[in-house]
Amino acid sequence: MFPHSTILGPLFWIAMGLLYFFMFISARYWLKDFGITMNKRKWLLVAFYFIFINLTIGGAFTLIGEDEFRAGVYFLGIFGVISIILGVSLWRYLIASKKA
Amino acid sequence: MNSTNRIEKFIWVLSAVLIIAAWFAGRYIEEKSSLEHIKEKLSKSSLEHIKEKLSNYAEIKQSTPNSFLAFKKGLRNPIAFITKGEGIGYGGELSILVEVDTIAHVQSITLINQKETHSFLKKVLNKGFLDGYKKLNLKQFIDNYNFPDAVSGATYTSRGIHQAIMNAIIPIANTQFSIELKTLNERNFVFGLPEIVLILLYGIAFFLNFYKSKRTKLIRWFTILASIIFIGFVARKLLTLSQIGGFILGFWPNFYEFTFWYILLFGLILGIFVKGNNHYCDWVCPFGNTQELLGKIGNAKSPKLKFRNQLRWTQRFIALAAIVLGLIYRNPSKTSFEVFSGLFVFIGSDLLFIALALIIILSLFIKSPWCNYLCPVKPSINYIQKFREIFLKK
Repeated sequence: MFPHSTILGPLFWIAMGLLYFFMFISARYWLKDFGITMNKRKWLLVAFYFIFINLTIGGAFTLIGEDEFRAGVYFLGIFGVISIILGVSLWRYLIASKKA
Repeated sequence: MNSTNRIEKFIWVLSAVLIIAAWFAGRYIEEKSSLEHIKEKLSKSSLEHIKEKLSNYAEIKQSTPNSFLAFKKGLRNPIAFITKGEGIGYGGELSILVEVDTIAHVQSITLINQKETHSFLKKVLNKGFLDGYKKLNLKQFIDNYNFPDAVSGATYTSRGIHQAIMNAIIPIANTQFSIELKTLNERNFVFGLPEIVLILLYGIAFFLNFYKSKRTKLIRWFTILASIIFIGFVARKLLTLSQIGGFILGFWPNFYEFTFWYILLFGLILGIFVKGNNHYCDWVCPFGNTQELLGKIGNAKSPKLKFRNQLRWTQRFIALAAIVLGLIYRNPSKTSFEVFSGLFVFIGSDLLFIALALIIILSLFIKSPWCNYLCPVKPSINYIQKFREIFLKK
């Protein structure tokens, strides 16, 4: 990622790790502030969705990085749209309990 | 309100006049299958041996309306037979030129006229469909030969090309080489699951027209899923502007092979003339139902736009322009701009896929954005509904 430096790569990934850590920690409080009651099933669905999003972005950009630009863009297009649909569905499911 | 009705009636009549004028204009400028046109098509062929042969041909003489003899300078006997055959593809009639040498081998096949959707035709040609017929001896065309399989996702186009090739070859085989080739058999009556689902959907639509049901919501879910799965993904048959243009041009295909379309058309017209309803858009169209399903997922709302009326009229004018241009150029598929094929057949240009992705995402938040603001089929059907409103007043 940083061809002219040996320190920036590790620093980048440390920053990414910290970002992920804060995201996981704050998700619980953010949902609580939003008035959404979570249970194990909902957390599981959120976790699956998070993995799906990561695989979509990771897969697409891996393809792009491996000189398969068209394949990467199509991958991002198809799975990106599916991610948005699943994300909206998941959000509607989560806030349904809030209304209840 | 009265002046609005009068304006709408005037626009309706003007549109009819434009469509009729476009029909005649297209007929006038349509290229005939003249000798000059065929020579021009042959000279533009990318096949090198055709170009080389043309330079060797002293002349090409027409022997029948659909066949030509090619002569080399100084020779009295022809060195090649060039015949034209016609078939029915997805968008209408297509014409093919087949060159056969004096020992009954197919030398080349050139597509000279077609009305197919570009991406479908490109798929068929890229799969080397035509190559399966080249270098064959005409004797190999006798019924038990394994012709190339139809290209998946472009069945009608493949069948149309096959039909055109056979129609070109059969007369030349029979007359010049005394090879008895039978004419293509009439295909069997096609009536399967998609046709049954279509009748069921129309049946439900008509039933709910006249009777209220407590289970309407459940029935609606059933019809949405049935339409998307069976009409969309299994049958892959949606009403498009190119078909509407084809019907206006007089392309009414074989009832046996195209039973689905006749049922679709019959149900649509019946719904309009019985109660003035557009049952195709409301109940059958898989893309419309996809948008409705996504709308239910995302709790889509109809936006309150001040210029909603202007958008509606823009949609109508674009549909009219597409139909008129399709009639003038005698090729409705060229002006057809629907995005359905990207979702149900996975065929289309990059632009089509981008547009499709945007429409799918928008459908989550806005109620049926394609149907209400862009689709050319809905205004075309509304046009027929208007006919009922204007001329068959209750």
